[in-house]
Order: sequence, then C-alpha cells, then structure tokens
Amino acid sequence: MKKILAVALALVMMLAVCVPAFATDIATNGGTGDTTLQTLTTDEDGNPVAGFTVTIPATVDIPWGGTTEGDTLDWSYVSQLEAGKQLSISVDKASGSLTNGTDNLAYTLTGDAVGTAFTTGAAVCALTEKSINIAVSGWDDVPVGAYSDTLTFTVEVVDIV
Amino acid sequence: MKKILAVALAVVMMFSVSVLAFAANPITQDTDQTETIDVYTVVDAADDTYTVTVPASVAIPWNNDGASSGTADYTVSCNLVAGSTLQVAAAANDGGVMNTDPVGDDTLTFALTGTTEAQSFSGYVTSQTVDLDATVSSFEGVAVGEYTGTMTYTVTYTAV
Amino acid sequence: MKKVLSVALALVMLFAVCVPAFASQTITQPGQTPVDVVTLTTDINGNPAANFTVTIPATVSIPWYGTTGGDSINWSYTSQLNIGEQLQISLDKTSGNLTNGTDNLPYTLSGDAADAAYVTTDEVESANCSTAIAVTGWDDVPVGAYTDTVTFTVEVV
Repeated sequence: MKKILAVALALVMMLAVCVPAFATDIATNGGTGDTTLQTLTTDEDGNPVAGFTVTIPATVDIPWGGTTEGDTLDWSYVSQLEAGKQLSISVDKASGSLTNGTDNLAYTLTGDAVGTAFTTGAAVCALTEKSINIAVSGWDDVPVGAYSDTLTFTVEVVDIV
Repeated sequence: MKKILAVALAVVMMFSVSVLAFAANPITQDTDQTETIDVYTVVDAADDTYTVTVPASVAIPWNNDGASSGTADYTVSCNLVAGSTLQVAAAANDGGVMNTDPVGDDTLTFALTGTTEAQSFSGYVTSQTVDLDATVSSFEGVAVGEYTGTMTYTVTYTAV
Repeated sequence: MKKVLSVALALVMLFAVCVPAFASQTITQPGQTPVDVVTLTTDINGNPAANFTVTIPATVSIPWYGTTGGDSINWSYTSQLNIGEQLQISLDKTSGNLTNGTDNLPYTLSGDAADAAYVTTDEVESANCSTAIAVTGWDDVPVGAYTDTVTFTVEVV
C-alpha cells in the first residue's frame, strides 16, 4: 500500500512539474497575454556559441645577431564569452636557451603573458594583436647554426574578478 | 264526478309537461297507476368543442457544442360527439430554414423532433399535451445571432 | 390593507415568474397557424454564445545568431462572434531590447499584428498567424539568455 501511494505521489508531482503552459489562451474581450522572447546560448544547430580564438605563430624566425628593432613573437586574440567570463593567457617561461643540441644561446622574454598571465578583462573582445619581445644574447660565443626552443601558450576561460 | 275530473286534470297536466307523453301508454283507471318514461339527451356535431394550445413562438438556445432544442409542445382539450374527430399536425416550413433579418450569408436549419406524426383525438379529452421540439442539430460555422424560421400547426376537425 | 397589498404583490411576482406560460395561443377553429422558431444568442444557461480563443506561445526561444529562415512568434485564433463583430489583435510594441540585465540585443517585430492591428474579416474564422522577430548585434554582447516580453491584446470590435 505504501509503495502504491509513493508511486502515485511521484506521478502527481511529475504532472505538477509538467504543467508549465506552452501556450496562453486569450478568450475575453479586452484580454491580454504575454509572450517571452528568449535567446539561447547555442546556435540553430545546437552548438554552443561562446568561444574565443588565440592565434600564435607556429615558428618565429630570428636572424643571426637579431633584428635591429628587436625580435618579437606576435600573437592575437578575439573572444565572445558568456557574461562574466574572460580569457587568461600565459607563456610557460620568461627566459630560456635556444640550443643546437650542444651549444646554447640564452634569451629572455618580456611583454604580456610573460611571467604573469594576461587577462582580457571582458567577455567580448574584438581582434587584439599582442607582442612578446625576444632578446637573445651571446651571438659571438657559439658556432653559427640553427638554435631553437619551444614556448607553450596556455589559454583559460576564467571569471572576471 | 270528482274522480273523472281528477283524472282529466292529470292527463291535461301530463300533456302540458311533456310532448313525449303522447308516446307513452296512457294511465287510465283500467291500467297500472304507474308507468316509466325514458328520457334521452340529444346531441349533434354542433355541440362539439375543442381547444388546441400552441406556443406563440419557439425559442432555441444557442449551443456551440452541439444540438439544441426549443419546446413546441401543444395541448389539446376537446369534447366531441361520438364519431367526430380532431387531428393536429405540425410541420417545419420551407425545410426548417432559418434566416436573420436582414437576410445574411449564414442560415440555420431546424427539424421537428418528438411526437412529429399527426395526432388524432376523439371524445372527451382534458389537457393532453403532445411532446414536440424544434431542434437545430449544429450551430457550427455560423455567426451568432437571432435566426428565424417558421413551423405550422394544422388543426383538422371532422364532424360525425 | 397591508394584507391586501402583500397578497397583491405576491400575485404580481407570481405573474412575473409565470410569464412564459402566457406565451401561447389558443386555436378553436380548424386551419393553419404559423409559429416563429427563433434562435437565442445565449446558451441554455443564459450565457452569451459568441466566443473566441487567441492562442499565443508562452515563450519563443531564439538560437544565438538567429534562425536561418527567420524567427517568429507563431500564434492562432478561432472565433464565432455575433453578427457584425470582428476580432482585433494588437501588440504593445513593434521593437525593443532583449536584455540580460546589463547588455541589450535590439530587435524589431514585423508581420501579423505588428505592422498594424490584426483584424479578422468574418465573424466565424480561424487562422494561423506569424509575427517575425529580427534581432541584431549578436557579436557585440556576451553570450547568454536575453529576454523581453511582448503583450498581446484582443478586443471584439
């Protein structure tokens, strides 16, 4: 008996939840009714629309001896996130060594996202170009050749504080 | 002499009271002192009376969900001599079509339901009601309004 | 005197109640008697028979960037009014802003009941209607649920 009552109660509760009207009938002279217009956070195919793009170069070529004006790693970002969200972009190192496997060329990085994560500050950001300066030293101390290192960018969506 | 006068007087009185007395056996001193007289009422069709009460009008309430009827009962009272008959019939005019005034695009149709066949009456009838309705089977697709049609009650009297 | 008046009043009230009983006619001669058969504009309970229903959606969901074929408020009506009457359906706005409380997405309405009040052409009529919704500025605001309310008003004219 208790099980029957429990099932019946569950059914009643489900029906109560399902009551939300999908339509409103107006049947009196002078009567009014409201329709709520509401946007979804997905597109017409059901795909989430909140997104971003951080564009970084696959490689940065540095001429031997460096560029007179200075060498840079140019990157950019654009975003349309949900309200209250922003991008946080960081590079995994502020300095390192370009190496040929035997010899090393030391370098340091300065600029946004270096040392401290760069935050975009807004959910919607138009295309913004950024630049990290690369300063290489010891050109005269090593054999001429191809020296390389890898930088890793990390992008996260975080709350705007 | 007195007896003769009394009898004569009785006879004269009988003559003055009823003509029928001429058809009766006379009472004389030689016959029984009593005799029976049959008294009859005489009627003919001229004495027939009847009343048929019909509605002044029949109102049918609107019904958005189906059929609706108005009462078209009629009541008969009659006092007819044997052999005289009264017949009452009811029919919808023009197939029961109902129009607005002025005539518009929409019409309705009513039909008689209940005891629709003609009814015959004879003899002595006291307030006999015949069940009859005017029914509209559907109001669908018609603008709401007062639609009027006509039915006719036909009373036929046949004297004996 | 009071008793006479009270009896008289009671009789008057009885006659008022019994009025239908006097709506008859008496036939005492053979022949044909025509009788009008008339529909009332009220139902058997005395309620007005004229009726209508305008059905509108409680909510219209618009995918972000809108729907390729266009977004709309789809609504319908059915009516069976008194002779000479029409339905008039109108909206409280033809444009507005969907908002999340901070940012706005402007929109405009067009089509049925938006360009002008929608008026039926016949007392007995049913139809499906559509009011188009055009939203702009999708790229300029954070993604989220933006809402606004449109109010329908229905009158018999």
